[in-house]
Amino acid sequence: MFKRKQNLPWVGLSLMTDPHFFTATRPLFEQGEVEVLEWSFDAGWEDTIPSWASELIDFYSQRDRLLGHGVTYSLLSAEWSDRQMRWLKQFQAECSRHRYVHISEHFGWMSAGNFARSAPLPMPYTPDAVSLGRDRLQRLADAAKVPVGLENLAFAFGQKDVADQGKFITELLEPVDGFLLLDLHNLFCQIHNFQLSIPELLASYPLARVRELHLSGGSWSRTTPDSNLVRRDTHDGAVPEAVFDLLAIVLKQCTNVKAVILERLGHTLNSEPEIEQFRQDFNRIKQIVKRCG
Amino acid sequence: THQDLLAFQVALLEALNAHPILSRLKALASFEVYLNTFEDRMVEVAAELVKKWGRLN
Repeated sequence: MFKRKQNLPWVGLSLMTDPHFFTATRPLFEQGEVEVLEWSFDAGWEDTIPSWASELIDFYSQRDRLLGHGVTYSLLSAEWSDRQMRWLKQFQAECSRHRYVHISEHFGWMSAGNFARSAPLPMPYTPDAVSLGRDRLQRLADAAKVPVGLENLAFAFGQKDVADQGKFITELLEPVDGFLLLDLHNLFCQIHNFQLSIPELLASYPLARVRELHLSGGSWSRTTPDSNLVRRDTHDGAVPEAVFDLLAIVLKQCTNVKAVILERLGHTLNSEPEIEQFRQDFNRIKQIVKRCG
Repeated sequence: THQDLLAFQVALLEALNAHPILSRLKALASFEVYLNTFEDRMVEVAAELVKKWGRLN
């Protein structure tokens, strides 16, 4: 059914409901190459899911190969909102519909006051913010009844956010014995944008808690012609060579990795060269996992 | 509700949404050290993101 050696991390995809994604990934699914599927379940609450995507979710759920990845819970929003209460109720229903191996969400916050949604943003690392985050993560764990974890952010307002994020996440995870979803492209963004070395950034994270890895591509941008080049986590391109290098390094340091997931926005798989690149990226990940996992 | 954290979050989103921001935020005292670490270019990126993704009472 799935082509995988024992004891290696599963290699899989983040499911997108765009038809381009289905076209690009269909051969990988049909050949049993996709060993695990990650589903951003709260995206499915907002839109109708195509039948092919529903069938894939059910297929992987029935075989205990489905990972849940929340996007809009907004863990560190200071005010417990009606929206979050509705989110948790829908999440409980989701967990009774599908069998998830584990559930992850993003570190940070994306809603406050009248702002219903923004990009995930970091918070200052203060005792009050830790207390808040622990409460919200406990609620997620109580509803999930499977292991829960947090993903590191790419975005940071400054060096202090970058330096504190690993410690902050560690403090949030400890009470629920949660896991770290380490996004390697997010690390790459911070390594470039804040001129950090790989060892010093990795050392700030609880590597023994890493249970899942994300890989993706991104883009470069300048806000003015003279400003520095900023790396952004836009999920719209090939996986950079530096991120493949990071994968090999991290697999040797993180001995509890259960799944490695390739992410890419479905609508960007809109040409044969892009599709071919995506499949090459997926196969490259499998080769590295086989060698280093 | 963590009132001081909420005030910070709302002020940040309002400032980014609404140019040479820090003065308005500092005018939140406990976050001053944090705000001093802001870097112009990252605030610019934040503003871009907030415009793209950011109102509902």
